[in-house]
Amino acid sequence: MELTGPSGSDPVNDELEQLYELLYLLPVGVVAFDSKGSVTRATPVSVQLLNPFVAPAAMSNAFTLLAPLVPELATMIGADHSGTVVLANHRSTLEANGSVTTVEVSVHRPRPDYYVAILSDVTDLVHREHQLERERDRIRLIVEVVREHAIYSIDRAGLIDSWNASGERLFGLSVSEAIGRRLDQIVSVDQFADVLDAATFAGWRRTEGWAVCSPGEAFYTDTMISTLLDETGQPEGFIIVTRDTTEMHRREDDLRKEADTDPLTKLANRRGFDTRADRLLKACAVNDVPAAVLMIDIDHFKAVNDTHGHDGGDVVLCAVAAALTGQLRTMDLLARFGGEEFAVLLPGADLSAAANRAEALRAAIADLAVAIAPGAVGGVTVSIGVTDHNGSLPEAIQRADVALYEAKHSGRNQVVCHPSVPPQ
Amino acid sequence: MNFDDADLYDQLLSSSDLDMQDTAFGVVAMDSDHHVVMYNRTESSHAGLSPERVAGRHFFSEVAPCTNNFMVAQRFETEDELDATIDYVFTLKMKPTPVRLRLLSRSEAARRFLLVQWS
Repeated sequence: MELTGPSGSDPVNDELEQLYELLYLLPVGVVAFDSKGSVTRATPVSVQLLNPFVAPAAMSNAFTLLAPLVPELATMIGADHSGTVVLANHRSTLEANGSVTTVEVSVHRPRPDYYVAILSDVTDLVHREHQLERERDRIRLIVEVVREHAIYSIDRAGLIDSWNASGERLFGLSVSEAIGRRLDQIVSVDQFADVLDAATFAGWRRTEGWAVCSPGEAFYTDTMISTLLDETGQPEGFIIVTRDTTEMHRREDDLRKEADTDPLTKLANRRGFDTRADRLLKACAVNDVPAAVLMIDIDHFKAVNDTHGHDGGDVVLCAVAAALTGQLRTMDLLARFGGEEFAVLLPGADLSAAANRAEALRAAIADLAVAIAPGAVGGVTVSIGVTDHNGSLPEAIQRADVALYEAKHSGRNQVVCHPSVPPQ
Repeated sequence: MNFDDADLYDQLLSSSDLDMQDTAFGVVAMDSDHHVVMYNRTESSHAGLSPERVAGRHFFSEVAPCTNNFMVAQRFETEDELDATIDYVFTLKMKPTPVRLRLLSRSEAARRFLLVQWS
């Protein structure tokens, strides 16, 4: 491209030119004027914003130039003789040619009789602010209408710092009652500090437990702790969503119990025995006390079934279960192991104590008079195998079974002991 | 060459850049993308910008943002045949100055012109 500028004839001061260029391209409007409104200087953006609304002749006076934004500017200038800020961040909207522009105006008085107005196009900013406001409204609405959930927040120390209608509904706590409480004072959280650390590290953490502060009926909760980061990426608190899961928890609990229980006698079944025996044996090991296992089998049970049918068999099973239960301590574990066989775990009993307890059980059963069917009252006996627990539970059960087999073969209605270490 | 000549566009298109330097009104010639190809002495002295500084720049966004609105820039962008004269205010050397602008554009012409007359 060829530019035939007459170089040298009208030299333009290079520094002044740079200054002009900076001001021409300045993306905000700046208007300097005196107390009568007479404009001394203005940057292009002020004219660009106001040209559609102000007649060219009116642009040399700030009061008429800025009238679409600040109609009362002359009065404000007249009244204001103190301070340097005449007007701060005043917003107004201009509509021209189908588009709306929001302009923010500030007016300063750097020295007497010298005013500077600053104009910024904040249309995009206002748009983003509206979007944020809508987002806030939406969240507020969700929090207002959500049921069986509480949505709130805690600070880094775990203290509740925001509370709302959803929390009031779930916990029955007002804002003033909830704010400042630590999270683990409303829902039980094991190792609270560790849980917060883990949530901070992973971004979230889930925890379950009973609500601990509800003035009403107790309820079980599932709580999601999500970490909130500040603008530098540092954790500044947590958003908490707590859900009432009482129903689900009860159902799971019921199902677990059902799976561990013999429906006829209501004793533990084999599965329940294994679970609970495991816990009891660990406790015995910790406390360094012995434990013993008894296997009990009802004698001639097949004959009862053959004579009185399965209903008669069930009556006998229940009578034996009840009699055994009556003879045992609450800490002892009794289970229907299968068919007409029962298992007992006696924590704290060595072999000889267990043998005595077994004998007492045998005698109590032998004393029973069972109403097997209308008009048919009969006696029942059991054979019992006894061993001390030394090693694994399956080994003990197997030894007790061998002892039980011996008791059966030696004529039934008797106790046979089978120690883990054969006597010298 | 007068600001209000009916055939001014044709006169400008047939003039050399040298002939256009000392007109009584400011002349800005732009290509079809509105980049400055000629900025005459009259306009240069009023604006305080040398032709070398504005050469090749996009006029509405990089030289004179005060014209970047629907009254000036948008008409150049949307009208195939444009010959309009409007009253406007320029902030030449940051002083609001009432001017008359003549907007000249034809889709087939190599150059578009923005002419500035001071009252």
